[in-house]
Order: sequence, then structure tokens, then C-alpha cells
Amino acid sequence: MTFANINKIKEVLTKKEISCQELISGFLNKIKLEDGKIHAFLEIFEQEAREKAKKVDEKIRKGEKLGELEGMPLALKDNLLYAGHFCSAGSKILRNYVAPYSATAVRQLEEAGSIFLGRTNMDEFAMGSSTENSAYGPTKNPRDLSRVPGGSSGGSAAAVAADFVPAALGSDTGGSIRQPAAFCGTIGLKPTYGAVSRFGLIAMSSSLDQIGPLAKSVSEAELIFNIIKGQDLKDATTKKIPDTKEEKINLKKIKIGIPKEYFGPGLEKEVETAIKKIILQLEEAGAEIKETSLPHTEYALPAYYLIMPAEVSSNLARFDGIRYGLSLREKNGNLEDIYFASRAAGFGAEVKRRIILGTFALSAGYFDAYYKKARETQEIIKQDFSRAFQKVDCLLTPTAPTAAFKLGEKIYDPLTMYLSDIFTVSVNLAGLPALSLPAGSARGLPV
Amino acid sequence: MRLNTALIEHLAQLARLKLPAAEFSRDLESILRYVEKIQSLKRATAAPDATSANEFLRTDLTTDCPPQEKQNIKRLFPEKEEDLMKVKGVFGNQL
Repeated sequence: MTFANINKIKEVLTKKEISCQELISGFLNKIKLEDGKIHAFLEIFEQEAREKAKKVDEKIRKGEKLGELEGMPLALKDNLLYAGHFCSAGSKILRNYVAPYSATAVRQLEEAGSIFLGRTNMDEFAMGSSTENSAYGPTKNPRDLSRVPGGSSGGSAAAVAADFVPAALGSDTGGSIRQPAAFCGTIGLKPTYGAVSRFGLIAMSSSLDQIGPLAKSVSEAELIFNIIKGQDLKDATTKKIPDTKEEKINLKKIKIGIPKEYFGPGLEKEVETAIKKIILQLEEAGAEIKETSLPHTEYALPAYYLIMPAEVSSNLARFDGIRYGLSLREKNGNLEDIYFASRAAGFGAEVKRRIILGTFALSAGYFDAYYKKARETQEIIKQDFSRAFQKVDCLLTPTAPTAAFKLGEKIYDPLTMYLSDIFTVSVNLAGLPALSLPAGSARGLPV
Repeated sequence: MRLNTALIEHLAQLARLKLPAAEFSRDLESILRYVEKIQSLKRATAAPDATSANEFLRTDLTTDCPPQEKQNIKRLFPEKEEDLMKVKGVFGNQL
């Protein structure tokens, strides 16, 4: 059953072809057998999952009303608070932190009846594009264990790709759902900013973060999205998102824009070939393909690497060893010593790098030339998209410039690592939704 | 603009971080050179005042934290005295 999709699982459970306990057991056994070499999960909630499965079987036996995802095994990225469970954002500074409450998105899935099998690995505080920045060791790409699964939602992408769960939640600030989805060959959806409540998501960059699903099909991703979306009084940035239309899309009525700036140098030849094949297929199916332009694309990643670290430097100030998390207190030390010692020991190098960058961008004397200028650049990028959408219904681009790279290949040069997100960040800056779809392969790896 | 060791040390102090500034300087400098690309964007446009003109606000009412949640939060305190969180004095032995 572990290869099955959400609808198939729902069907076999309601038809009583398999008990929920058998179903959950199957998934847990597969994880125990195979996750040793992949390391998608940081923790499996085994006992709880089995107990919940028992309760679901009771509900089914009694003929009680079932939730939309009753008994469905899912996984949560390690930055989503799930009450009573460890949540560490892939960091040492939150090693023994137990979530006091659940994130809204988590609560919504729980209320729909899902069973969380565990929390998945991620780059520390979502900072990374390979999951190699996790304080708990990297995750391997199930399609090629010598390669990265992408990041920062690498664990969630790997869990879905390895059939450990039919779907998982991740978060995306600059591409962290879409890029690992592309590297592992799954679907990844970054919803419109504000579509999903960020309450209970350990914040990285509050004006860019969004929670979203990773799954093996668009309809499954849609199902999860429809459950987690919605305005939330606990997150004032949430927007009302209309329900998706039931009608089938008529490709002959769709105009797809191909922004030329995404097909230049830096894009791996085999990736380009795979994408161009898809464009041709869409054209043959009747869609109108238009070359379009997002002229300020080259400024998106630089602007992102000023805005995001600035927000990071503010959001991570709370990790100071006072109320929770790693707290290093020396007998003769003072209050400030606790801050310095706890943060030095608890944060990894990439986190420190971004905090310094952000502190720089916001500091007196540099604020105008860096942060303010980056925000102006962001507005220009938004305008690029507005203009493009006057002529086309959607845009099609590669998700990542390459297929999955080897473990250790980019970890020693932060800037090279940042460039993995070159095609994904513009969307976050503009607050737009974006979906990563498998598009064939390059050198045998998913694109 | 150079992110030299002295500036990094100053920023680290502001961010309450202890780090080997010299080790971080090379990577930070190359990142800074990259992000400075935006300086070449001549087109002027106003930066927005707020992150979004979202009007989704709730009534400003105090609600009690659910007791279980309160317990969960208190359990996380690194240092406790009875029911209270314990910290070093703010005005104690100073910086």
C-alpha cells in the first residue's frame, strides 16, 4: 500500500479492504527498513501512530463519520509545531524543545483525521538548498543516495519520493518546497503568500514564508492545500483564497508565458532539453506558448539575500537561552553571557552567516543602500510579473538550474549554494503561488 | 563596501553572536559583492510602507492562554523557581 495515493488509501480504508492499523504498520515498517540509508525522518511517532490507527479502526467499525483524511499517514517538516512533540527546526538550539501548541495547518490536518508518522529533516532554520545544513545530518536523495534531496524541505521531499508517506508538509521561503520536489521527482506547491496560516511555523522570513504540500500528484497536493488554507485569526497576513474550480482546464484556452531570462547561461543543458520537451507537448496539446520577459530577474536573488537575512536576524533574536531551547549559563556569567554562549553553541555556520548579513543590511548607515534598496527592487520584480500576467495566464520555467547535485558538492561555497534558488525566489518576493511538477529527467535524475 | 573583520565583529556583537570573524569574512564578502548588484538598478520606485495592505485584524481582546499550553510553556523554562522563570539580573553584574 505504500506506493498508493491518498484517494486509493481512502478507498481501501472505507471499503475495509485493509485496516488502518495494517495500513499504518505497512508504512512504519517500510520507514524502519529503508529510512536508515535515506534519513528523511528525524523522529518517528511510532507508538502514537499505532494508537491513532487503532482509534480510526474503531471509528470505521462503529460506522462513525470519518474526516476527509481519516487515518491518512502524513509527515511534517521539523519547523511545524505539533503539540507535545519535539520540534527543532533542524537546529541544536532547539534540540529538546517540545511544541506547546500545534501550528494551525497541523491542527487542520489533524482535525481532518490524519496520522502524522514523524517529523522530517530540514536545513537548519530552513536555511539551505540541500538539507546538508541540518544539525542532525543530511538526508539522501532516494533516487540516488550519493546526491542531495534538495532543501530546505529535503526530508519531506525524500519521504514522499521514497513512498514513506503519500504526502508531507514543507515550507517555502525562497524555493524550499519546490526545489527539493524537483530534485526528488515529486509535486511541490508553494501557495500564494497568505493562503495558509503561518501560526505555528517556526519563522524564517515572515513576509516570504509559506507552508505547502509535497505529494506525488497535483490532485493530492490540492486536497492537502484545500484543508490547510484559510484565514486564521492568529495570522493577520492570511488572505481568503477562493475554492478551486471543479471544471477541467481547456488547454486551448490557456496562454503560457516562457520568460526568456530563465533559459540563459547557468541552466544545465539536459534540464533545458527536458523543459523544452514539456513546452512542446503543451503546445501540441493546444496551449498558446508565448515568449515573455521578466526583465529584472537577475536582481531577484540579490534582493532576496538582503530581505530574507534581515527578517531572519530579527526572527532568530528570540533564541537567546532565556525562555526555551539551549541555555548555557555559567555560574559567574551575566545575562548577556547566556545570549552569547547559547547562540554561539546552538546555531550552525549558515545561520550565523545569515544573521550577520541581515544585521548588516538593517544597521545604521547601511539600511538605505541595502535593505531599503532591496525592498525597492522587490517592487520592481512584482511589477515585472504584473506586466507579464496582462498577456499570459501562467508562466512556465525550470524549478532549478540543475538536477540534484552530489552531497558535499556545494556545501563549501555558500554563494554557489544560493544560486540553486535562482529560479524560485522571484515568486516568493512577488507573493505568488508556484507549483513544481516533474518534467522528465536529466542524466537519469528527476527534473 | 568591505565586510572586514572589524565590521563583522561589531555586527556579531549587535546580534549577540560569538563567531570567528576572520573565518566568516571571505564568504560574507563574496555574498555581499553579489547582493550589491541591486545598486546598479537605476530605476527608482517607492518602497511600500507596510508588507501588505491586509486588513484581516481581530478585535483587541485578551484571552487566557489555555492551562495545558501554559504548563507546556513553563516546562520549557531553562531555569525555574517554583512556577516562575528564572533569569540573571538585568541590572546585576553588568556587561
